[in-house]
Amino acid sequence: MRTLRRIALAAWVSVAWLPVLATPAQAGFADGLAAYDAGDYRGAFAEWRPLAESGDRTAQVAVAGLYLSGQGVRADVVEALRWYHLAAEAGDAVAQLNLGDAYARGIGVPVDPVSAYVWFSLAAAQGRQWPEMRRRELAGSLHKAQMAEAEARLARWRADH
Amino acid sequence: MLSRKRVLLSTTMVPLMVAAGVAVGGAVLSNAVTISPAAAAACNPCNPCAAKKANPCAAACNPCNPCAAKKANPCNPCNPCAAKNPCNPCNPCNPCNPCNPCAAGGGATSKACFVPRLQSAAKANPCAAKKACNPCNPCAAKSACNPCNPCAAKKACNPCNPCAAKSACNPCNPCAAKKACNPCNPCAAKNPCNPCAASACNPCNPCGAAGPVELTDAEAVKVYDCLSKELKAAYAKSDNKIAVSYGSWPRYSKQPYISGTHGNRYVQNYANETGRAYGNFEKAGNMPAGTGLAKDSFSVTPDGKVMVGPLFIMEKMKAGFNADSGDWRYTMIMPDGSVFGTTKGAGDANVEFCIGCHISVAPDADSMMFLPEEYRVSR
Repeated sequence: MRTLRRIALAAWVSVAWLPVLATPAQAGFADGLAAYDAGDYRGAFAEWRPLAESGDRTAQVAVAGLYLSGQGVRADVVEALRWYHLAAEAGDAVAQLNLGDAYARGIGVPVDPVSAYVWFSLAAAQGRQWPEMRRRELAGSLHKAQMAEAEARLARWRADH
Repeated sequence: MLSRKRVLLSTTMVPLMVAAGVAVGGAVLSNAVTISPAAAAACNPCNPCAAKKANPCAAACNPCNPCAAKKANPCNPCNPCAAKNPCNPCNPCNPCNPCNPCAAGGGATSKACFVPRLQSAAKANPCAAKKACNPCNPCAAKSACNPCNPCAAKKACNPCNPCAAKSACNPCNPCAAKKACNPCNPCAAKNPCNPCAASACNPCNPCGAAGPVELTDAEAVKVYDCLSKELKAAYAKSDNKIAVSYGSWPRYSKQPYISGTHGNRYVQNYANETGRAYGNFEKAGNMPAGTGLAKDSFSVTPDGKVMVGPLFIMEKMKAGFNADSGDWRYTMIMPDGSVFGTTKGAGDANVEFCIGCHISVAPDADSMMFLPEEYRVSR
C-alpha cells in the first residue's frame, strides 16, 4: 500500500509541473495569434519566433507562414521552408503537406515530384485528406523508378522516426 | 646531449616532418578531391541530410543540405549563400532582381492577382525600390538611422521606423509619451491596465492599427474574383468541413470591404442555409444550432501585391456547448491550412480572443458583428 502511494506521489510530482511550464508558451502563442488576427504581424512574429526557436513546432509552422507571406518579417521562402522542415521532421502534418506543396509547385525549390510525394504521404498517413488527394494525383504521374525512390525514402523515414 | 628543440630542428628531422606533412596533407587533399564531386549526392555521408538515412528531404534545395549552397545556380532561392554573398546577383541589396526572394514576393503572395494601379504607382516612383517602408528594402531593414530611410528621418510614430518600435517607452518618443491608444505606441498593446489592451477589437488598439491599403470598389471586386480560387485552395489544406464548403454558401456582402475587427483585411461574409437569418442582420436574433458563418479575407500591400488572409469561422453549437462563447465555436484557418485553435477543441486558449471580442456586441446580437450597411446583401 505504501509503495502504491509512493508511486502515485511520484507520478503526481512528475506531471504537476507540466502546466507551469506549458502556460507561458501557450500564452505567448495565443498572444501572437491575437496579434496576427489584428493585423499586427510584427507583434505575432515577436511572440512566435522565440517559441519556434525553443522547438515549439506549432510556432515553427506559424513562423514559416510569416516568412512565406513576408508579413512582420522580410519575405524569405528559404527560411519559411527551413521552419517547415523542422516542424515536419517533428511530425507536424501541416508542415509536411506544405513542404509537399512547395516541392510539387516549385515554391522556393525546384519542382521535385518525388519529395512532394514523400511529404504528402507522411501527412496523409496522419489522416489528412488534402495531402492524400495530392498524393494520389502525383502517384499517377511518377515513373516506376521515381515511385521506388519515394517508397524507399518513406521506408527509411519510418524506420528513423 | 641535444635539447629536444634542437632534435626537432635537426637536418634529419625537418625533412622527415616535411615528408610526413606532405603525406598527411596529400591524403587529406586526395580525400577532399574524391569527396568534392560526390558532395552533391544526397547519399554522401558528409552531407548532414544524408546522414539521416531516411530523410526524404535530401534534395538539393534542402537548406540543411550544404551541397545546395554550392549549386551552380547562384540565383537558386534555396541557395542560402545567395543572400549573403555581396557579389552574388541574388543579393537582396538588388530589390529588382527576380532571384531576390523579397523582390519576387513570398510564396503566399498571389502570383496571378494584383492591383495594377498600385503596382504602376510603385513603378512610376523611382524611389519605389528604395521605399523605406517596404520590408524588401534592405536599407529599411538594416538601419533606422540610415539617411536613405525616409521613415526614420521623418516620423517617430511611423510604424516603419524601427527606432520608434524599439523604444516605445522612451520618453524621447513623443508617441509613447502622449497617448496610450496611439497606434504608434507599442506599449499600449501590452500594458494590461491600458484600456486599449482590454479589447482586441477596440479600434484604438494598436494591434488593429496596421493601416489598410484602400482599394476602389471595382478594384476590390476584381481582386476577389481573381483570388477566389486561391483562397479556397489555401483553406482546403486544413481539411476543415466549412473551409471546404463555404464557397457554395449564400454570400451576404456585395463585395469585399475592410473589416477593422479582422486586422483591416478585406473580407466577405458567408452563412450556411441553417444560418439564413443572418441576412436580417441586427434583426436576426439568436441563431439556431448548426449555423455556420464564414469570412474569407485578403490583404493588399502598398505596392499592389495581394495576399491570402485567414478564414474566420463561427459555428453555433447546441445549447450548453460553452456559455462563455454564447455556444459559438470559433476557428481561424491560416493561409497555409494551419488551425491553431478551436473553441473547446485543440488550442482552445489560442482563440479565446475571438470570444472576448465577439461577446462585446449588444446582447441581442448573439455575438455577431455585422458589415456596413452599404455592403449588405439582404436575402
